[in-house]
Amino acid sequence: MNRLDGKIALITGSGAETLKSEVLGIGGATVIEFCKEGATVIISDVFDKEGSEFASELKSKGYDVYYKHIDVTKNADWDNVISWIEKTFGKLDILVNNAGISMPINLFTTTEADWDKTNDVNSKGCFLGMKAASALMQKNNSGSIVNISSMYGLVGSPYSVGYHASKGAVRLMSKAAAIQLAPYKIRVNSVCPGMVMSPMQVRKKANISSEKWEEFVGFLEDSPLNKAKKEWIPTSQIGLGIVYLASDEAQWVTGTDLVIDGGQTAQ
Amino acid sequence: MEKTIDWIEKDFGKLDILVNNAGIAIRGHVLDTNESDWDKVNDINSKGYFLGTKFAGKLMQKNNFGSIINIASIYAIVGGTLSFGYAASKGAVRLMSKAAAIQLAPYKIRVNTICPGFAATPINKHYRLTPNAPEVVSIRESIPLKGFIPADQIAWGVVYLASDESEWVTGTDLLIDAGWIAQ
Amino acid sequence: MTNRLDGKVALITGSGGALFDSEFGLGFGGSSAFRFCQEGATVIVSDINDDIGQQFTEELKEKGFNAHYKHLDTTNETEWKKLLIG
Repeated sequence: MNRLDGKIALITGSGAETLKSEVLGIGGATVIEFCKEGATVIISDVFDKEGSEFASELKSKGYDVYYKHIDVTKNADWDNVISWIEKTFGKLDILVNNAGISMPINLFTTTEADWDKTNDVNSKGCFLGMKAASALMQKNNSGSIVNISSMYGLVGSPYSVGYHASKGAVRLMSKAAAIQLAPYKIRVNSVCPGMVMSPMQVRKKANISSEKWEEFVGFLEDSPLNKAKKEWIPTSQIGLGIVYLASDEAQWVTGTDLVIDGGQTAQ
Repeated sequence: MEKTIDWIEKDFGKLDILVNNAGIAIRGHVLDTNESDWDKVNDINSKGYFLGTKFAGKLMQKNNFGSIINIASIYAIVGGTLSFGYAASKGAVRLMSKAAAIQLAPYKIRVNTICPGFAATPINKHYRLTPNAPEVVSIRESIPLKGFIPADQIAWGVVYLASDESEWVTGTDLLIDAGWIAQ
Repeated sequence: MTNRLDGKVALITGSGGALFDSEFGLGFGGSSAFRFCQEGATVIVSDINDDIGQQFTEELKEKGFNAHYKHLDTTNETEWKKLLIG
């Protein structure tokens, strides 16, 4: 498999789990798919212990991976890592802005601090990443940026208004960046996952009563394919969608959303 | 000389993927569109996709598996000055895909649409024959990536939607349009 | 050749309108047929231009691919039924 041969890729929020974890998040699963397709991958996160361990696990399997600390809300972290990438590899081909948070709150229970935190990580982090990475990509007149939005960047739900706002922001800033970076042949797209079996969901299952869980699963059945398959979307499926957008197969795809939601928002 | 196939179920026992691609482009302003143009473009571009989805669905249903990819257009999303019946037919494709996605999900059959932008295909040979014609220049300049999309790029999108890599993608539109709709 | 579509049977309508060396290249259907073949699928090329469609299918076979040609007017319900379920 060589769809990303020779590409240098930076993936944020990809170091919270290791191969020993019950399930990998979207970031971790994307790292695996990128490795299988031949990319050099820079894992980044704020969880340095897990992130470094994940990187060494993959290195021992023969993949070309590195771990670097990035708090996506801190410009200095971005500058450090992007200049390290430039010094080490001379270029950056792919940025996946994946780092994100969500909270089990709604309009009435969201505090100003909740709002700020969610929008700082999910929205401002994405902006800072695009700005820092595109400065390097521009020198090469080529690049692909994939921003992780959500189906909750497309439709509403009973949950966090701050999350919806942040994911809507990701979708539209991607389109604006796509237009502004097109002259440099840098493509920008977003991915909108539906109900994914992420570590967040695994933790939720472990922490709530079985009654609450049933209720939650009932809600998940809103997606036609979730219902038919009686399971959630594996994070690797999101990783494979990101591979497509990152690869040269999508050289003419920019400013759009790839929705991977089992049909939930088609209804 | 190997024998030609009779029908798909008999020869292969199944159908995994249908690509509804056959289509025509009839250009024309609403005020100049006559009934026979309307019927022709909607017959091929819209009814043809319905029939394909129906019969492929019947065969795929037996296997509880399948992926149907319908080729629409950026003119399934926005209007333009040059086509009317075509826009209607492509808009129909986009929404019938979503309805079919919901209705065929119980059988694990996925249905998605690809919306190509301005592409360098045989149907658009004027992009290459007269690259400096004012109409062609103005289209090219309106495209953020400033060029016409190679047909092969659409093929890669079709491969992605046909493969098991997109097992959870259904009822959606994949735009391969060089950023045109994003503006 | 990779294997993203190994073992899959695929029907592509309107995929027989051009040949590999046609002046304006392949369209969406023909390009898809080629990439599907490369990825390991069995491909049924279909079109109303039987001559070119058959020739294109031969070109695919010459490359070692598993391709077949069948006539299909997509606006005709009887033809769909005959091609898919007999």
